[in-house]
This record gives sequence, structure tokens and C-alpha cells, in this order.
Amino acid sequence: MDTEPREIRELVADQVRRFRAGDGDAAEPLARRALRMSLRTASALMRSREDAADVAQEVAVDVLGSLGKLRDPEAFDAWVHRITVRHAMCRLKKGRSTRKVEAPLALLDEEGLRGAIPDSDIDSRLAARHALVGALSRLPARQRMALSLRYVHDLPDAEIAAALGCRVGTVHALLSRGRRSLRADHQLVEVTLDLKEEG
Amino acid sequence: MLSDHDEALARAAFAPVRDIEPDEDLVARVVARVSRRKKASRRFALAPARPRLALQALAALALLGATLYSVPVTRAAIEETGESVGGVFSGWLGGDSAEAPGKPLEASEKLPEYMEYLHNSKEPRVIAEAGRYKLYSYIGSAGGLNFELGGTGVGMGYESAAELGDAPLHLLGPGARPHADAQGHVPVFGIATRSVSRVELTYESGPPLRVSGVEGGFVLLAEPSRGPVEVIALDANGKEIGGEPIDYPLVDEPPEAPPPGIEGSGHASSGSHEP
Repeated sequence: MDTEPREIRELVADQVRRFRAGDGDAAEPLARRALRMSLRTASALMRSREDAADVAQEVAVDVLGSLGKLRDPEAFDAWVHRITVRHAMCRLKKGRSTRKVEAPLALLDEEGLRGAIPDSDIDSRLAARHALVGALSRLPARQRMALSLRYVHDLPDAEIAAALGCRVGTVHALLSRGRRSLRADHQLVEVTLDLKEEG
Repeated sequence: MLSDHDEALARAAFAPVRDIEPDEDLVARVVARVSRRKKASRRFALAPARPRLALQALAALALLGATLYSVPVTRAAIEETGESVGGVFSGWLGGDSAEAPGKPLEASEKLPEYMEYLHNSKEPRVIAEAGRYKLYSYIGSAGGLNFELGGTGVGMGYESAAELGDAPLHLLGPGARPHADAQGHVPVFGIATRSVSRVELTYESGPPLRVSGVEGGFVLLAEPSRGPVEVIALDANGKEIGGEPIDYPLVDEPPEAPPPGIEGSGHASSGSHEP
């Protein structure tokens, strides 16, 4: 399922080696990659874009600060997922936003698209994202994480297990229960169907 | 059994977040922070090493502190009968300093420097401590209620005491960046109603960690290697009146089936941490 081309992984591994060797220019592409991956995961889990960005930022800083522990530079992505899980789980279980006024996650990115694509498409995406976050918020944290790693990053079960620190069998159970719960969420089913029909 | 419909639904549901990109400001902030951190760690590496004895003394203090200490709330606060955990702080937030939980800072006691700088904190109080960890509570410059585990950078804020909920016990952390002491103990901390006089941290194996005399806040030095399960709140008669599970990793322990090339970064805990 992990379809990352070999060339990309080698490129990232080379950036990791350069970063470790003190090449400051390697920090930016690695930070961007870690941010992109963790922001997507966090965006499926957090209720606000600020929270998602906060998690992503902490993950990226930790990832770059801990690259010395990565024996195989090609395992950069797995390292990002592992640290994302740790930060997101703690945030989900214990973290409370320090902000009262938050921009809904649904607004993330989409404002920049106004005018570029039909408003109805944007509205559908906003509704779907809002419904997704609402549906996920009713699931246990580990189910949310497992679903996000599978359906945001297409990770296979073994890699999800590695990121969550559990057995593959546990991942099967988490995904199965999670999908069942999503199916039972009428609002999510409705807006998702709308999205598919428009697509 | 996974149906195609379930799979398609899940895939479609997550589609809106699959193409999100970080903005340039965020990337720049991370690069700047990493750069600062590297410089700081270089400075740290040049500093003289602390004597090992000091670390051992700290660890011993941590063990002692976890089992024995939690700071008493003021008498006025004890007499208040509010049973929600938010009620412990509501009077103080409302402007009545006599209602404040915990104790004020000693004359010679200073807040960690970063707290002064970051939060412009007002009326900081210590509501619990264990080992080298102190749990501070303070009213923010905008009036909100804040908690900070001193020296770790882990903190959280609430606009009102009502946000703390109405359970007898509320875990605040370890937070997004668990900190471990020299022996690998991770501080698990939170607040509790006045009816909670003892908290217990249960493990998958072995005896629980008990802290008596809880009156407002607590810090427990957990041993991640023993599999912390739950923090239980007990009243003065030893009756269980609440609890919160710990169903997430306290440290970044190595997974059972790590992908090739990854080393674990968990802390091993040596010795027991008996009550």
C-alpha cells in the first residue's frame, strides 16, 4: 500500500545524511516533509487547524531533533509517523486547547481555493471535513490514529502497528471497529456520498 | 469482514485531509526552532558535566517525593464543598485569593524563567510536587486558569474552571512531550476535588503507586516499563470515587515489530518504585 517511490525515499535518506553531517540546507525539505505528513494526520484528528498545526510543528521539531536515533535514514517516514502518534495521542487524551477562539479545521486550506474551483465543491469539502472530525471525535484515540494512518497515508497494517507500538492483530481490530463506527455515523455517510457523487 | 462499502466510505471520508500542505510560515518556524535547538545543545555540550551524585540525589528525592508529598490547599478551600474538579479553582478565578488551592511561592522561590517570560503569570501557586517536578497553577494575564509542570515546558490553559469538567479527578498530563527523570520515571499529574484524599496509579503488574494527602493536585512519578493502567481517586474512607485510564504510551517505547532501521528511544526504569 505504501506507494512512495524508491527514488523519493533515497532522496529523503540523502537529506537525512546531509542534515546529520551538519548541512543546514537539508533542514528545510525534511521539515516540510515531516510537517506535511504530521499535519495531514493531525488534521484528521484535531478539532481546530491551530491544534493540528501545533501538533505538526512539535512533531517536526522532535523528528529533526532526534534523527540521530534513526539507524536507517530510509526509515524517515516511519519515524515521523511514530512521533506523530506520540504527540497526537497525548494531545487527544490530555491536551486542551489554550485558545477559545479557533478557526474550524474545516476552513484549512480552502479559503485560498475560492474562485479557483466552484464554491459548491469547496462547501462539500468543508462539510465532509467537518463531518469526519466530528465522527472521529467520538471514537477512542487509538482507533482514530489507526484509521488516520490507513486512510490518510495508506499505511499497511504492519507499519500502522509499528507506529502505534502494538501487534498487527490489534491494528486489524482497531480498523475494523473504527470503520464500523464510521459507517454508523449518518452525517458522515451523507456528506461523503455527496462528495463521491460530485467527484 | 470488511465490505467494499466500508472501505470506500472510510477512503472518501478521509479524502479532504489527504492533500493538505503546511504553509510557508510553519515550515520557517520549524527550521528556525531546529536551528536554535542545535545551537543550544552545542552550548549545553560545552558546559561542565553535572556530578553523577547530584543526579542520584535527584532520583532519590523523586522517589521520596512521589509517595509522600502533595501540597495542602488553604483551609478556606478545604471548607468549600464544591465537588467538581473545576470547583476547586472557581473561587480563586473569581478573584478570591483565600480560595486559591495549593500554596504561594516561597519568598526565595522563583518560577522557572521561561514561565515568567512566556506567560506573564499572575498569582502563581504550587498545587503539588514530586521529586524535581512542581505543578504550578496561575491566572494568566487575560484571566484564564493555567497549569504548568515546572521545568518541562508542559502546560495547558483554560478560560474558566468549568472547562475542567465535573469528574472527581482530571489528568492534565504528561502532555505532548513526556519528560522522564534520571531513573526513567514520567510525571503523571492532575487535579482532584476536595473529596479526593488519595490517588493511586495502577500498573499492569506489581503494586500501585499511592499518594496520600491529595488536596487539589498531584504529581505521580510513573514507571512506564511497568505499564501504567489508570489513576484512581479515593476518598478519606478509601472508597473509589473516580479515575482516568492511561491508555497511551508514556514514553516512546520501541514497537514490537519496528520497521527496519528504527531504534527505540524509551527509557528503562531500574528498580522498584514502591509506595
